[in-house]
Amino acid sequence: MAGTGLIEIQGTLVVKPTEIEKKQGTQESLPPLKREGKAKLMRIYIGENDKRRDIPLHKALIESMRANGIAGVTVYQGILGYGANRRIHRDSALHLSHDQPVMLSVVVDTEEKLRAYFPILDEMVQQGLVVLSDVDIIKYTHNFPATECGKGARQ
Amino acid sequence: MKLAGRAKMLRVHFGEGDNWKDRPFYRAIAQKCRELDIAGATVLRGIAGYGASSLIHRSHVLSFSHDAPVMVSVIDSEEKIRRLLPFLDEAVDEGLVAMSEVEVIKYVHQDGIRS
Repeated sequence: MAGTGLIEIQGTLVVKPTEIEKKQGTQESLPPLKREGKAKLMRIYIGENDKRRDIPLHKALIESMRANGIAGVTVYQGILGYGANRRIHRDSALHLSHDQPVMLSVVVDTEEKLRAYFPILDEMVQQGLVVLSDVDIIKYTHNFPATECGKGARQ
Repeated sequence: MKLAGRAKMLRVHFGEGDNWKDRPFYRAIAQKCRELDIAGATVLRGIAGYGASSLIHRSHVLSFSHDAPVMVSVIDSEEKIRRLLPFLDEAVDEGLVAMSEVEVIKYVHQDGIRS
């Protein structure tokens, strides 16, 4: 189904599953997973209003990651949140405020690649949270021909 | 507040329509986190999903249904995160709470903005 994309798996401890549903009929086994290896997943939490040189910080980060050959980034817009500065970021339709929380989820093939990128990241993110975790990559395909521009970025 | 090195990430998955004491549950969680002095919480809205009840949650503009899937992500030390668990135990009656290991690379705020 997914021709191009990435599925990641992370070691997760379930603290509390649902209690409402009946427990019957859960015996079917999970479909087999195709493991392709280990990778690092980085999450960056910033505000939508954060800027770098007059462009939104999340856009600046995506561009800089692309330029540095980082495998993939997804930007999520949050609806509510607070962080280091204790200010509540919220989507308020009446105030036309656009300072919602933004999360970037970044997948990198190797930790070295990521560590090499940290100085740039450090300089760009002046306020926010950056966390790193281990993930197993299940599937990773890219559909551009090996001769095109993508090759340079992915080396 | 300082946050560095090994930490825990707690993710709570539920529906946008879920309420706790007459207000959105995601708002209640964020407020509880603040009360407990937890480093931060972010509420993200999904566009489609299904969970324990196997209902497809989807946000329909036309039908004004507001049961999109919602995820709250909370990152702090394990000790702080555990303080939140009694509240979740009480408040989450349908949903999923999962915890995983993370490494904090950076947690900064600009001086002066902090209130």
